[in-house]
Amino acid sequence: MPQGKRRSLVKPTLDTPFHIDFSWWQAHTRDWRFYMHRLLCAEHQEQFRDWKETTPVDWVDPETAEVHPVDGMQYVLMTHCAQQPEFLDAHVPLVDAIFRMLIANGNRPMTPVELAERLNRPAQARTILRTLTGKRDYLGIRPVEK
Amino acid sequence: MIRETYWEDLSITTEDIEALYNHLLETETPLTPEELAAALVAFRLEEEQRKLERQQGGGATIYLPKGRYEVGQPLVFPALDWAEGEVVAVREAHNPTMPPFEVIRVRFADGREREFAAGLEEHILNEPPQMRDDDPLHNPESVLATYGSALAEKIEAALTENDEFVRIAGKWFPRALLMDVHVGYLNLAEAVLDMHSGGPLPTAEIIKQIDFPADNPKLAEFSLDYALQESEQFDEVGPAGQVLWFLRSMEPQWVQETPPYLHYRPLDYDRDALTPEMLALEAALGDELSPEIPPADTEQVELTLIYPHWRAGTLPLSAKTRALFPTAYQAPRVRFTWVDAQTGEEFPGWVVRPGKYVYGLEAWYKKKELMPGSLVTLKPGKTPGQVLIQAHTHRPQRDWVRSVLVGRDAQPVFAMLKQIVSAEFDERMVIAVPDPEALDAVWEEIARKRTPLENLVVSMLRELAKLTPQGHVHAAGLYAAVNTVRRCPPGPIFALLATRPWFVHVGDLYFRLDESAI
Repeated sequence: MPQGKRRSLVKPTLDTPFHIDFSWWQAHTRDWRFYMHRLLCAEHQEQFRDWKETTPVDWVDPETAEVHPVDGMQYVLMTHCAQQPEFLDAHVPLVDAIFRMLIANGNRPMTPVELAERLNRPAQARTILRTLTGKRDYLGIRPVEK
Repeated sequence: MIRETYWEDLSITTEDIEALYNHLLETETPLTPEELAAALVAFRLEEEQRKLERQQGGGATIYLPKGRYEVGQPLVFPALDWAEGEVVAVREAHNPTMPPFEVIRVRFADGREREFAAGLEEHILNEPPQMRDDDPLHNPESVLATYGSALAEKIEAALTENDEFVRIAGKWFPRALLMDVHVGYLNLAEAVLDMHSGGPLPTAEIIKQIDFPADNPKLAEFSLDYALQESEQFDEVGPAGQVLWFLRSMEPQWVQETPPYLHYRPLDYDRDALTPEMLALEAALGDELSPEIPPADTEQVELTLIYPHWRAGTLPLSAKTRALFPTAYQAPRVRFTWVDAQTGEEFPGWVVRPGKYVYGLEAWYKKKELMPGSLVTLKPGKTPGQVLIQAHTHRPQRDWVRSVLVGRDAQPVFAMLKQIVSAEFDERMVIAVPDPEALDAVWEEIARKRTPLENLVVSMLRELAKLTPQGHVHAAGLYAAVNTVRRCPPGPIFALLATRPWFVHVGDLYFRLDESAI
């Protein structure tokens, strides 16, 4: 799917859940592994020094027990590094903060309202919606397809 | 098993509407949205319990992550709204950070396949689902305490869109169950109200007097209420929770229609230009046309009369005063009783919600010899339908008072004249009007010519400035003066004062006119 093209004709609203579409990452030239490697904690940055190849891991959804095979580095990021207190405290641009919040929550879909609240920016729900529904796909954060 | 966001996310379904309909059929009693919310919660909890029993008693095994499953085994998934599927493959999981477990591939009824953990000892879903009364999400009282208002709002919205339900005074009932009310009964009801000076009368009293068949009194009452509501001759004027009927043709003229003195054509102005002092004054003035502010939490409200309300026999229904007056679920006009706080005399009053004013004070203003600028105090009455009103009267005395007259050129002229003063007033806002009829002509002329507000503010400031040695005029006085010739809330006037260079602020919201800057 070309970048910028929406999958659904239904216009997302403040109540539309968004998640990270990892298939978007893989379909784009952008080096997602490099981006994710930067998000790892120091210990795992070292462990995944050779970040270009990792084995997929079966990640278990904490709420539904559904299994999703995820990239090994992504798994470590979600289950360990993103759970460190400093992960969400980092002073990063809004889109990165959203990405980090989704990762820290196991990529559980969240609405712009929820994201704004969790990011302690309750007045910015509309800004988040506008950003995520703009012409550009930011970091593969997209509305969840029904 | 009810998920955490079950009640928060709940949307009213066709089954819910049907259940509410049946509940109303069974009880044969009109119910408020709050009462219907209680019925809905009971219905939903029963439904969830039934669903659980059905699933537990059915052929499919409830999926638990700790279980081990075989290909071909049917499973049901409580966390996925009890979706059913069949195991189509089993494999070893790959996850070096967790104890060994299996992954089952499940095909659901829609053909989609998803993978789930099996043989996994640690997962929240390993607790078998059950309905527990001590869980606040399963306890009707705690559900209603937390989500009752939100559920009532959702029910209200859903029923409003459904033709099968009717609403009277905030209560809902199935249309099909209403008794047929013949037009003859409406004529009789009209005659009864006519004999009682138009009303107000409760439905039960009307039923008694017109001999309406009332085998089921509540049903009879609601049916007649609905018929009266649908007829344009009658007006429901009861406060919230009480149904009282009035004959529309016998309501005072200025209850049926907004008095001309209170008509306002909204003006665009820059609210950001208003200073904090101006905003504080605007809130204190309590004009019904000012933007809504949080209502005052006070037992007593003091108001300064302005000419339009003095002339119309009304007072503003603003954020400042609203809490003192009865309100209604639907009725645009609510009848209540004024009580003179000094004499105990009672007389009828009306809350006119669309016009944002309360009516019924024309005679009382005359009796108390009040003038625009007089102070009036409002307090809650002994019963919810009563409002105490007090003028701060004293022995009449002649005093120099700012007065407005109409000149030969049909323009308002302000002068200090000796007037008989019988009540306390606000020095800044008082304006005696010896000849209101003459001022009516000015009012009409300004409305006809559509004189710009700015021109009026300039001419009023010029007029009022003549009456003080320094030529300074307070913003509140200017607001009062403008309102002797056209209706205008403080906001647009204050915005002009704040933004035009010819209005010079001299402190404490006093202004002078710089003629050289015009």
